Amino acid sequence: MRILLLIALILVFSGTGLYMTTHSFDSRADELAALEAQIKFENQQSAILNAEWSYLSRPERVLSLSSSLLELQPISTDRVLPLEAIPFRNNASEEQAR
Amino acid sequence: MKRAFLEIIWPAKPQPAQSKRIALGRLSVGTFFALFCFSIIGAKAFYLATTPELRSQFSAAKQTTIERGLITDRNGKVLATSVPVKILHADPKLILDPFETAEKLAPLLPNWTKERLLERFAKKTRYVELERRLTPNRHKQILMLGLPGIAVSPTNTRLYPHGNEAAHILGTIDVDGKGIAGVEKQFNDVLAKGDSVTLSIDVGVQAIIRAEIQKQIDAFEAIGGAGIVLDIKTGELLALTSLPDFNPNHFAKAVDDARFNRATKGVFEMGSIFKVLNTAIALESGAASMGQYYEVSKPLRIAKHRIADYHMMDRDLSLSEVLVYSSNIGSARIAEAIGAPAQRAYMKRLGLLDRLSLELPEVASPLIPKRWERLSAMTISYGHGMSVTPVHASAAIAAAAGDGTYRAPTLLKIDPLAPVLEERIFSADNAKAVRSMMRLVVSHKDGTGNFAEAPGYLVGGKTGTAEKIVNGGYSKDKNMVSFVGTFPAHDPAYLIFVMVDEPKGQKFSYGYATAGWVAAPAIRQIVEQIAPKLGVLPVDENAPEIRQNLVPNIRIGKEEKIRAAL
Repeated sequence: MRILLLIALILVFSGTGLYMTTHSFDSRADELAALEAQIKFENQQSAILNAEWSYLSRPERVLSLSSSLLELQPISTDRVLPLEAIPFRNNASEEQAR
Repeated sequence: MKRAFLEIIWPAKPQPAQSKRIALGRLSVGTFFALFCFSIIGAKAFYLATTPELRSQFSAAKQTTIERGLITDRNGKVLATSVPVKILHADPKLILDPFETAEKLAPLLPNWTKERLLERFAKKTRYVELERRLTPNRHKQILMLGLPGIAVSPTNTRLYPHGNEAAHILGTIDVDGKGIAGVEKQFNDVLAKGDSVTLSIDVGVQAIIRAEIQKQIDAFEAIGGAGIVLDIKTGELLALTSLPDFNPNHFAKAVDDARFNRATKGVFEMGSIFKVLNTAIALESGAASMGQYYEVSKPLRIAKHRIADYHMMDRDLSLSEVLVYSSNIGSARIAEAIGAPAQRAYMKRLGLLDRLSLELPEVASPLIPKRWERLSAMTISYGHGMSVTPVHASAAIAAAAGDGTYRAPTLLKIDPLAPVLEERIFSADNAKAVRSMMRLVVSHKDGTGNFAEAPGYLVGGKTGTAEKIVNGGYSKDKNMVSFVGTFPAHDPAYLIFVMVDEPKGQKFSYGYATAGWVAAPAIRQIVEQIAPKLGVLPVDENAPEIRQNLVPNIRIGKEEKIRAAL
């Protein structure tokens, strides 16, 4: 009688325990799947935005925008100098000036 | 027994002597009942917890589709991407009023008319695809109509944000998402796994070269063109264009001519730009030296073949003058000194005899003479009798005009830290001599490439005008003009190849449609625009550190020769 009672109780507790564990696992798996779906959605959105950025920044558009909105011209080559071409400040002459 | 059981549950008359027995009886009945219930719950819990089929219906299904990977340019600009779109479709069986539905839908669907919609709705099918790429705006409008039988389902589509820009490189995919051309086909396995491919292409450079070649095609009423920008020091292709091109977003609408990649799949007799290779091979093989002169006053006759020059010269030309004046006779004489077997061996090492090795499915094998004899060697010296693709020619000339080493061209970005695979073919001294001569083609007043001069960037190059073969013979009026340029000449970093197919002489060009008029000006425009992008600074050609990288005092022209003799 007592043994039967004990077995029944063990069965009840372990069964409930197992059920609760798997249930919480399932709900976490759902949460994970939801997060994954969310990540996928966000990735898709960022893919769309990236594609749009790539489309909006395509060279021909930038060229037409810059020529209509900016008053900039390509620099003529005689205005470009390497850094070494600029002389260092001459300390001696500066002291003389003082 | 029956009386005893009844007595426990409902005692007729509680008697003190029996009360303990009744209490015990009630307790055990209650216990067994409770145990029975809990056992069922426990067993059911076990069953639910250990049966996976039952569990999975409660948890969300796993996403199994992998999106196709990106194709980006060397700076990470997206050239091909997969984006979610909606497919609009109809189920004719569920449509209540086909006439009203067609009338309301037709204005929102650019590819459909009311009549065609009605026709499709009348068919005995459950699925009619109406629009593959439904824009969000139109999706909203159609939802607002609230038409039964019209539905949308999500899918992915391949998007090429830059349109025509790098069309021939990218290729496209079919409706099943499988690459059918270009990089999409070549790297289908990689992309299908979701990995991205980074190309060596720079979209900015690509746009510039494409626009400039298109300008020349329009100006000279040409039928097509091709262009290449090659990083001489790594073998990376920064730009590769073939015109006319197509929009990979609408590949089905492209005609065959637009789909044809002239830069990698088209083989052409390259004409005089081969003289650069001829000069380099002559110097390297020891068949010629800088001081050598060649007799060019009379056309050469070999068997039935006649080799003549565009402008006949009445005096001997030096090795450099043969290149600067682009003398066919001189080149043929140089080739004779090299000899056919040696010429062939060098061409082999420069990759000109093998199928183009490039990361594209659309590549061609060169057309080479079956028997490489004296006459073949002589005509090949000035780019006739052998056809290669523009990429073949560019990679080979990059070796001769650069530092003398050959690097296989590639469309994939190279890790700057990885060792570059290269093969030395020409000595540093000979490469220096070749690039000095190429500089003179552009900088000397008698050179054929004056229009390519971009002040400060030291452009070197060679023009090429080849007659096209029409019906088995050379055409007099159909030309293929090309220009191969390098800059900066003292330390060539980039090679630009421009080819224009069948340009026609114009009033502003005095009727000329030669490489010097058609292709050379494009080189100048391209160099001036891409040099700042690529970090090449203009320099003073007369500065000593620049001059030491070029061979000084190469004599070009009659007077200078006389002066030298004195």
